[in-house]
Amino acid sequence: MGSRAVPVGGEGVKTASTRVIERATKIAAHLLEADEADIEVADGQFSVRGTPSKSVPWADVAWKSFQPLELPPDLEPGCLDATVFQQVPNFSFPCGAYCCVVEIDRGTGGVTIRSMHLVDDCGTVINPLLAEGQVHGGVAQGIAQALFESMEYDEHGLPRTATLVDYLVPAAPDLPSYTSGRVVTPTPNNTLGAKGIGESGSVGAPPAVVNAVVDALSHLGVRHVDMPVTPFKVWKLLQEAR
Amino acid sequence: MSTMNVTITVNGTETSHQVESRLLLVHYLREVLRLTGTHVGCDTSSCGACTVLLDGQAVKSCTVLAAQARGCSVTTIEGLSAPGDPFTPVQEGFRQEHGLQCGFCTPGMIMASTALLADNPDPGEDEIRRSLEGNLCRCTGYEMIVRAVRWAAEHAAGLAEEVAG
Repeated sequence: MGSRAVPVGGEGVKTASTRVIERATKIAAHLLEADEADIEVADGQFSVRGTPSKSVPWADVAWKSFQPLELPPDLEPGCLDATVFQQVPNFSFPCGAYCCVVEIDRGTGGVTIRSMHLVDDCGTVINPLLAEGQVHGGVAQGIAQALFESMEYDEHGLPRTATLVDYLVPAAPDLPSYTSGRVVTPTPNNTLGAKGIGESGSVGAPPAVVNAVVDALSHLGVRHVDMPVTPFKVWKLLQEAR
Repeated sequence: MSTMNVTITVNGTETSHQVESRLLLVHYLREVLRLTGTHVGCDTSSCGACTVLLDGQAVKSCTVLAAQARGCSVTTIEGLSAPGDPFTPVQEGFRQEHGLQCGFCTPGMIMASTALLADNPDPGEDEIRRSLEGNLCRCTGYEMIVRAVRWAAEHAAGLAEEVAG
């Protein structure tokens, strides 16, 4: 299923919220003595279309929802409560393209990322700031996999990278600044049109980074480097090419 | 078990307790004073989640004995702004720029950034990244943390005026 908090959970939130709004609108129409079809929901309140002075805030509607004598006959007290059980019909298929420029130190084999450009399509974006944060975090983990992180074991099978002293999690100076863009193609598989985004970065970044390194070394006949691309591995490739 | 009396000013209030001599400052803060905003991430002074200010300097409180902080002034995340009060520029910057994902490293990041800005009120991106080298974040990719610190640098004066006014 991939990253599914919004495609699955968000869809549930939308369905449940829609049910709550429908019932709250009925209560508001009853309180305002108006037709349900004429009620508008905006800015935290329910108002009668064309008569903005006739309105009732959410808090009042919620309070009345517990009072049987204030409700229209077809609603039960406590009705602003919705529980949804659902399955989404299919996966979501986010896609994207990442571009990475690296610089290699001939003396040490160290790889520095000079720039990193990220374009993702996660369909409908609910919160652009949170979506960008998810991409950045995934990209950081992807770069870490490409360049730094590895569980290493000795000949007896004992882990040699069991703490943060030995296992290299990148810190702020180890990672670049990112530029990011977005393409929006809503998915037909949920009514939000939202696709997963949490794992896009960690899927896109490793091939972008490793291919940039391979490209930089291609004039030496290098066609492949195993992750993580450590300075030692690059340095050896440079030595062998001499 | 050897014990000793320690007196430490924490967030402006003098505290005094009889504690085990080997007690770490972070455990004094979390377990004796119940100030659990300071986190323990790694216990090996690698991750910086436990960063607090000790006489104004950022330290990893998992690597300081409570006894070493005797007579000192400690500021934790709880000491930056009281509940209901306006945030400090750094706190507000982390909110405005979404300088977090899960939030576990955030108290340490905010304390380290606070110390940085006290030293250098207008740091560039590279300076911010180097200054936060001792604080690990697993989920943000650091970009928005850097933006949060820049936000704080750019709004420090304005926010201070708002608080004063």
